[in-house]
Amino acid sequence: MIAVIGDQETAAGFRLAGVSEVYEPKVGLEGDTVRLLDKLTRDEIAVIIINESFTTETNVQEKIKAINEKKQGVIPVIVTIPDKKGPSETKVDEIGDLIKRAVGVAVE
Amino acid sequence: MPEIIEGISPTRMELLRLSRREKLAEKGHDLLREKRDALIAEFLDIVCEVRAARIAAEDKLKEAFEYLIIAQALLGVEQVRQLSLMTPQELALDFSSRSIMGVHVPTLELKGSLVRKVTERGYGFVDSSAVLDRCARGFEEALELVIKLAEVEEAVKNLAGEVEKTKRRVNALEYIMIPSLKATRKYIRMRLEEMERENFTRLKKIKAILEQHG
Repeated sequence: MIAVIGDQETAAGFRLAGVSEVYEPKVGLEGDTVRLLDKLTRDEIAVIIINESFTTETNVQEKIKAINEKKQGVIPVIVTIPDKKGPSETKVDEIGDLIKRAVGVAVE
Repeated sequence: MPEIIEGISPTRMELLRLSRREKLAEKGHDLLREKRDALIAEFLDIVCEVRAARIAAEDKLKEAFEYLIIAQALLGVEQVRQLSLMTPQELALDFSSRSIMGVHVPTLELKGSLVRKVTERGYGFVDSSAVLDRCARGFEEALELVIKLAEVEEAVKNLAGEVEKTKRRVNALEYIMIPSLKATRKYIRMRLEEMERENFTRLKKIKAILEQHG
């Protein structure tokens, strides 16, 4: 199963693509995204697609980290995608960070 | 100076046990080092894949969003929303895990292609537009790429975690465990030698005393 958490445009787009579990957390409502993530993890969703703009809050980031640490098998896989404005430039280069931590030096 | 393991009595038995432990630690260290190098090679291979997958997915998404915005302008935001709710929603996704060097990574498999025919999308032709079709197609293609991305990204994350863990173990063995075993062994050997010398002089002394009195 695939679930999408995103803004209005992302939600409409992925509904058109045939995803059934599409959620639009209310903007500014504290903890809504966290609750959603919790629920989706319980429902054993395989892939959670989430907008970058929703993962800027610290509590959401912490929740994602907690889910990744706690999971037994390989699901859920959480993947972030940009919204209609394109990839945000302030976002940290997650993969670059991983390389630096794993290999010890930055590669390309 | 490495720490000597505490609470060890300087006996021959203990010396034997220590040298056995040291041999084991060295063997483990070699094995772990090999594992670490292999993991890093695997990791670097897959990192390139992730970068390419992310760029492909983001490009496709951007294109799809452009069509979506046009569709929203033509049909109205609410209309697009309603049409999107009319699409049949069935996605078959198989997931399982495979193992790279003992690290579990997910494999996500889509049954067939996500891209559907225009007639399969569920909304009527009358109240929709060709742009909406293109938009739906864009998102279908984007979704495929995003799922691919999710798969490789997760693999990289898991591999990176394992590399870090293995590295920590290698370092702990190399810089703490093995030196401290070596130091302890040396300490015991010195103590034993010292005791032997003490004994030797003691025997000499006793012999001298015995000869004097005899």
